[in-house]
Amino acid sequence: MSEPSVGVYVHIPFCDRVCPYCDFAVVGGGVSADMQGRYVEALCQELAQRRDAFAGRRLDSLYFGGGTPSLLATGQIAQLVRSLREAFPEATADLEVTLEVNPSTLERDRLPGFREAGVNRLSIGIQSFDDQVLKRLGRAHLADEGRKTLAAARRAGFDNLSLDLLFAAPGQSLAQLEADLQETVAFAPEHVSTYELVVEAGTPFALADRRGQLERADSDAAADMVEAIDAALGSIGLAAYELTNYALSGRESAHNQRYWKREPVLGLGVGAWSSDPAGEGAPHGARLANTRSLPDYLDRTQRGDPASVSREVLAASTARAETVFLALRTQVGLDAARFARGFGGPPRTWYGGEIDELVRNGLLLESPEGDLRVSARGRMLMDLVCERFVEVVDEVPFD
Amino acid sequence: MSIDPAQIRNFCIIAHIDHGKSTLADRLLDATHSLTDREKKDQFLDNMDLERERGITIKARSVRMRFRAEDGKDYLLNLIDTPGHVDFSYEVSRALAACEGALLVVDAAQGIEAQTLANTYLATEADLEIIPVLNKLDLPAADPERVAREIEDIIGLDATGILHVSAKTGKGVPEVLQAIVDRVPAPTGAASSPTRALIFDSWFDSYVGVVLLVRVMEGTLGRRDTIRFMIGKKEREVTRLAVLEPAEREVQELAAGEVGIVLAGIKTLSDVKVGDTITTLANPASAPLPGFRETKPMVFSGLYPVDSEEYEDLKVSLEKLKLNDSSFVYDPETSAALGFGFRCGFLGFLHAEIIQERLEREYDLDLITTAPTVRYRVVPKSGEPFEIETPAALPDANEIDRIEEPIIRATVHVPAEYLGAVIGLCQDRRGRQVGMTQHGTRVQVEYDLPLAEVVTDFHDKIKSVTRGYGSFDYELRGYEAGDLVKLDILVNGDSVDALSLIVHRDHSYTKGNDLTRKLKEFIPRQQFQVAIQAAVGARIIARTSVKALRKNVTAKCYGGDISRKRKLLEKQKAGKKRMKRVGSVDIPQEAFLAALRLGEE
Ligand SMILES: Nc1nc2c(ncn2[C@@H]2O[C@H](COP(=O)(O)OP(=O)(O)OP(=O)(O)O)[C@@H](O)[C@H]2O)c(=O)[nH]1
Ligand code: SF4
Ligand SMILES: [Mg+2]
Repeated sequence: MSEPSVGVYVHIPFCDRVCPYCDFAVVGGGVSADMQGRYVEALCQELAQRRDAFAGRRLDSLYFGGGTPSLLATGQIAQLVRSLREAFPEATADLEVTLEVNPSTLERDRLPGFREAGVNRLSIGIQSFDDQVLKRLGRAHLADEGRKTLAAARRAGFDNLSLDLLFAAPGQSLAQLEADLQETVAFAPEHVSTYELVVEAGTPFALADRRGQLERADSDAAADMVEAIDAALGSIGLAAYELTNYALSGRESAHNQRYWKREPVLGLGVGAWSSDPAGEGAPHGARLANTRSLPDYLDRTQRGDPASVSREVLAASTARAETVFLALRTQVGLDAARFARGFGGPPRTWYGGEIDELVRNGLLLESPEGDLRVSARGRMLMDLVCERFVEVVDEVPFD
Repeated sequence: MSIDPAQIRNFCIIAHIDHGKSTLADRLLDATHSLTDREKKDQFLDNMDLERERGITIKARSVRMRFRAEDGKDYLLNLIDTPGHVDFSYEVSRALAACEGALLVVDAAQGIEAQTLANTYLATEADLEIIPVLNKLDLPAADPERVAREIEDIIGLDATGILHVSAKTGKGVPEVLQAIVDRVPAPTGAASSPTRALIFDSWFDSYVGVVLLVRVMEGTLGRRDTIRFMIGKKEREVTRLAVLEPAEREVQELAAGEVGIVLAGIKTLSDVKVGDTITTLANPASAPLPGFRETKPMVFSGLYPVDSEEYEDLKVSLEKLKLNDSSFVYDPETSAALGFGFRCGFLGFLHAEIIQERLEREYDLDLITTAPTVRYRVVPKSGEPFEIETPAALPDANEIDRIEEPIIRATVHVPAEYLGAVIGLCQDRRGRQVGMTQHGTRVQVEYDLPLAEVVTDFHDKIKSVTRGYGSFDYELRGYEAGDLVKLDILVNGDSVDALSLIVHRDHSYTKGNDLTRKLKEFIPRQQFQVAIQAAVGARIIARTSVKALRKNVTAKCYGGDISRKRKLLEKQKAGKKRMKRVGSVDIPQEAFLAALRLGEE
């Protein structure tokens, strides 16, 4: 077994403007340098409060997500990387440090600085190379800007790039997506994350959708798109190592894999989630959610109060269900022996009926050792498969 | 001290639906100062929520008034307001048995309608003095001369005795009261004779138990008397006697000619039957009064709780409701698709609707109701004929010689210009014309129709093809063989028993098509293709399918939104649990509801 480790997620909630489909914890438009400075300080304070829960763990990944973390000055990123490394002195040799970047002039200029700050992986919010699609999505950038950012990233020496591609955007045709894929393939990134547009409650898109103003792809069209993505990315060796993530072998994201393996992650910042390791009174760990309000976050950290507003101690059954459905999202699937080490029995101990039915229906594959993996069809019907492993609670609290 | 019967008048108000019975009752209560200002409200006697919302009377109500007549004497007038809708005509029959006279209210704009006639026949049969009252004289469309002629021609009542009122303005109302005193005969029974009191209604009160509404025909009933139910053969002591004025006022005695309520420590309605005769041990009668014909349910459907955990609640609620309405019946039944529920019998479609609504409202239940059906008679190739009230009970087609269905004689009243539309409708419904009479501009047509064709929407259809001017009444004639088949709905080969129907062969294709199409709309795509078929016997007559779901995955799963993702899955799963599973197919409630509602559109 690998020694205890930790991944850190740092949420930077600032964006130039808020995209109409976004439901992340973000604040849009002209955040002052002063505010950014206060926020970085607050992050350091939260780190100081929270590091003990992960004491003695080897730092395995660092991830600056958002929002748009590249809106921070290079010096601020450098400061955060430094603080984090100090907090967790022991770190993996080639520690993965990812920064999310949105295409814009400002950020392009900072790329060399970010590299110097210790960032060695960029996740670039390209979304599409089609101006029409980008405009309909309400993105702040146009295609050319994206292309320039990609080129600049390479020039700055980044050899581990991930592209975000969005599909099933309003009015997006399969041909438009295929053009995006062609350009992606030509650029040959090491990693691609795909996102199907989800209309989240409370967003402007949800309102437009209710009014029937959103030209949405139906599930058949979306299925065609997934097939197109698989084919195009596969052609340059990008394998779907997880449901929506594609990488060259060896370039899988260390950080994201922590989630799918249910390994501890310290989340810092507005709206960040943490998965705390097992401990006293929480044999299967705990999940914490930070406040989603920036002022509240600043207040809390300043007072020395926890930034988290909820803490869920995970029941064994919940942890088991999560372990299964997260693992099934990955190409390697669920390792029955590892599962048994964690829970005292192989998956069939709890899920015999479900496994039988899913196998019978051709959605799930089971190895002689009891390892589980979804079939190609099961991958497309992932929610139907995963649903079988969760428990129905009477009233599902829903935010 | 008993009241002199010569000073009592018992009458009811009968009419076609909406002709203004309850409103006239309001005015009579006004004119006799029976209500305080605070108590007054429109259609005072319609005190059930459903009655007030729908603006119709469902249950007959009785009330006693005092009136000083032109002769300077005070009279006790007992009024019974009755419902006009055909489903509730048994309420009218019972009320008639308690009266010597009836106000026959006729809307002066609409004229004679189907229930005007039907109720007049009932009143004549019961030997009642009928006082025709033209109502709604205030309406510009009122045509009292024409309607008076109709009354003479069609009903054969002398036009000179017709009263003219507006129940809205109160004009003509005092004359109505005086006419009741002058023309309705006083009750004849003597207070000294052996006691006979007719139970003509009863209801359940959660505080005092069963309340009996009686008309004393002969003799007297006193508090503390030991009474005997002459048919039910039970004996009880009277614990309370009261009259409704309309508030309950306790009395020591009810004498011949009076109407009032009796409490006798009866806990369940099954202990006593409406139509039974009460006598006293002190002064016993030798024979009971003629009772009422049993009401027989005509329409049946299955009632199922949407949430199967509400089965017990439904059972308890049906028991309670039955206490107040002995005319509906129920038996437990099970459906593979819907689980545990009850097969219920109703007097008519409106009755069914009202029971269902009361269950949902007063008892807070969510229900699925299967398609209404009638009672078929099955003649098997061997063995005795038997009756079925649910399509599920029908044996295999090859074991059946024939299926017979109930036939009604429908009487439709309609202005001549809509006659064509009505005939078209009746033909469509497999009707056979048996008579037609013209009265001025109005026509009365008679059709023999299968009851199954009229149970759901026939009444509404008559209304809509005649722009509200047509009306309809029916009576059961008997059974006739029909070319009837059982239509089954299959999903992936499994029959959805709750959707099975007995239909005429000619209608099976359309019905099968409609049902399968409707289901397709509401069954979500699943991991397999879902074949939806309609079958008659082994023959598939309609088919469609829900394509297999190719993709069911959306949300990415990063950050810590694992909890959120999990909750989404939990929610999705919870949604499925609320569906009913037939074979391996999950069918949402809405699909059943939509399919069952098809007939109503
Ligand atoms: N203009 C006018 N409207 C009236 C008159 N009498 C009754 N109405 C209206 O006619 C409608 C039906 O009146 P109801 O008194 O409920 O009729 P009903 O005969 O008791 O109806 P059911 O009990 O359902 O058969 C109501 O909207 C009354 O307001 C009248 O004299 N003039
Ligand atoms: S850039 Fe990303 S985080 Fe910012 S508003 Fe748009 S979608 Fe949301
Ligand atoms: Mg009424």
